[in-house]
Amino acid sequence: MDKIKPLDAMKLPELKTRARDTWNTLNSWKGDGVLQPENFKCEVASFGDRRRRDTWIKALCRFRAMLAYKSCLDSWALLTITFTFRPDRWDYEYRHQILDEFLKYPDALEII
Amino acid sequence: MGFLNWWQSEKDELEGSETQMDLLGQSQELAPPRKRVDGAIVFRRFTKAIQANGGDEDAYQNSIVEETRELFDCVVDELYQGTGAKRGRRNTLPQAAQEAYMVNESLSANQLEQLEGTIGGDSQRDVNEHIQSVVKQQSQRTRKWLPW
Repeated sequence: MDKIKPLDAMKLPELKTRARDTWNTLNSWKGDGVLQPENFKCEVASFGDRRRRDTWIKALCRFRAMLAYKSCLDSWALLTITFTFRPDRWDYEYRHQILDEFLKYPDALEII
Repeated sequence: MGFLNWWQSEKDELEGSETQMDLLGQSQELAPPRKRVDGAIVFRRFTKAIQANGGDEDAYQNSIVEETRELFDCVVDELYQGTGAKRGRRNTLPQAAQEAYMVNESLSANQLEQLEGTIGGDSQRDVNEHIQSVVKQQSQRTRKWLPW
């Protein structure tokens, strides 16, 4: 049985847009800065079936964690800004998964 | 306007003023609590300026990405790895890199503080993008003065 979702759970189109935006930020700094939509599709597909919501949640959380890790200039800001998940933030409902993904990096605890 | 004139008009807002009664019951102005400015203080002013303009965590994150790319031609991760620094600890970066961040964040904060209350838009995204573009432009200008 599906878990009961909170009323304000993010809709699939927004989920996709957020995943795409985060992926764009992650990839915009590579090489010539030209984004390949095909690569995005392939990466999301590596998390599962792209028709499933779960897949997009997994992709989003991984991308958010990767962005937090790769652009972590300052541990203080990581805690006071990046990982300060207030209830009014769009990524609030995914906070546990984002943190779990972040903690997969071997030196994640040292950074925090 | 020279610094001293500017300071006279801004000091109350920047430092506030506190007074205390002396033994004779007269009010004495206390010396403001000042300290040597380091990169962390400047960085906090910078992040505060982003938030004061309505920027959220994405505005902060993307500003850092833009700033780093413009100043150093790489990403934060590469900067830490390439210099043998410890990720997340700015004080382990080479002095030249810390100075570049510090000067750019100071100048960007000046720009953002002047814009306070003027940045609007239909969405959070618009506000963030405006802030990011201010940081990006300042970073491009700062870069011209760096030796690499």
